[in-house]
Amino acid sequence: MSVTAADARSLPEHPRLAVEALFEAAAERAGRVERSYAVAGQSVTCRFAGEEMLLRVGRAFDHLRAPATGAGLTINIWDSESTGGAAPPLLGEQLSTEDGPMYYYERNGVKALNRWRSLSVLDEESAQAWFWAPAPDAIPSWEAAAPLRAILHWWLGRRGILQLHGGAVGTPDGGVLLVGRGGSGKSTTSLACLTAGLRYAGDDYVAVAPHPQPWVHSLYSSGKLEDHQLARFPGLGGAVGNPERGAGEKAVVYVEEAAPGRAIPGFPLRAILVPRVVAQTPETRAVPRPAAAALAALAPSTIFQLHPPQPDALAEMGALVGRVPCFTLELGSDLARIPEAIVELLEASR
Amino acid sequence: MGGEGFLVSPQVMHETVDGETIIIDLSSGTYYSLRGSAPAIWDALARGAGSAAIVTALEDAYDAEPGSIEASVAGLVRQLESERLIAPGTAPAAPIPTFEPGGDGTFEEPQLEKYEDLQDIILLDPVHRVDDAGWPHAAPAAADGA
Repeated sequence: MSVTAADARSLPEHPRLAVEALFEAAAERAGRVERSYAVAGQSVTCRFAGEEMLLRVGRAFDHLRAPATGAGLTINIWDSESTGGAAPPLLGEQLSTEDGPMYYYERNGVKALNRWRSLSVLDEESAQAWFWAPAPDAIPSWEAAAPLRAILHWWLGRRGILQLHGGAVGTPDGGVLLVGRGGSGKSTTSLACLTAGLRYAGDDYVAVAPHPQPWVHSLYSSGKLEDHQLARFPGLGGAVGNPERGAGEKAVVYVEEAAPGRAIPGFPLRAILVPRVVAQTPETRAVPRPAAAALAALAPSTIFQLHPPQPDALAEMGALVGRVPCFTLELGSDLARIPEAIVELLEASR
Repeated sequence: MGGEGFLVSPQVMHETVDGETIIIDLSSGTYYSLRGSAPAIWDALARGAGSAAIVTALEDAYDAEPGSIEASVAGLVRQLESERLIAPGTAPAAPIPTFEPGGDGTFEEPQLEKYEDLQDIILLDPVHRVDDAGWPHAAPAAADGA
């Protein structure tokens, strides 16, 4: 099932009409499955047409399961292959990218993003969202590891909650945010902490409520590791979501499945750490880092991945690094020493 | 040096923390760090001050060799224009800039560092492009259906 450019010409007057009927028809055919979550303190109900997309995107949210409240955001999720329905039309303007066409729409409280062949739509007024993919397997494994990111960014952003490019580990008493560009050591650090009394809130994308007290909210219980890194975490091998991955594709592990109860919904933010691989020594140590240098590690890669960033996102991040102590985390070669350094830092921050 | 003002590109986000300014160019995926006197000069430019007014205010605030501050400001403005972070223009109500000497009162050379290590992200994600009309902003080739 493919989306064609011709579909864009038949765009209905309201984008909601473009997706609502398709989802309802798919749910009629495949059956409805509902899951409720508490995401960053917000009630989110995911309504799936059939179970295929639940299996593909639901795993990352398992640690956030919560009783249904009937309030908050409802996200309707389906695919065409398993439900046998037509693809929705493309919404908005085509933007060129190096990896294929992309469409973005924003008007009257409705946002839509069509990229990597999937479609995300949010209608703020009705608190309804839709996520569609041609097939469950059409969602890349790295996207399935951090699904619904655009919808959650739009929804949470309107509620003053920032989606940040970073990992986070801690305890209910407090934890740290790990920021920096890809390859800086966020995943290794986050997952290394699983065995040492710290709990896991994410390795790549988390949410942070800056006010009143900076608070980290977990979005996904997934983590991504390159094969050579995965070998260093034997306890995670059984929870790899993409065992038949392609060359160069990172392994996606689901922490809540590998270590039930080790993922955590959130905690007060005590420090911002910028990992840097040193490895000449086994020890890991935290060295104070100027707030501006922490902002430089946090903000650009976060903002470049938001669709689009809130106008005040950079100012909010600037205020955040000014309120929370920042450190460079010099990562040594001994994985066990990484959580020790973080625990020591957290104890000192009490 | 002319006394014209400048406007910050609508593609740019900027924030100053602890005397260092981070500038993010959403159109290119490039980001910058301003240090020394550059954050104060940038702030004055962003508020609509012209370069001549900035030089005068800096010369009032600091003891420096004649012409050195003017050369420093002109050099930074050239860099900022070259990077398309600012462009000549007139702000609605350009204020008269003032500067508070810090440290030992010596004028610090403006420093601009450029980082391009995240450009791969923006090349894959042009939805960040903005203009005065807001989101979204399609690349001309894409808008033409290319």
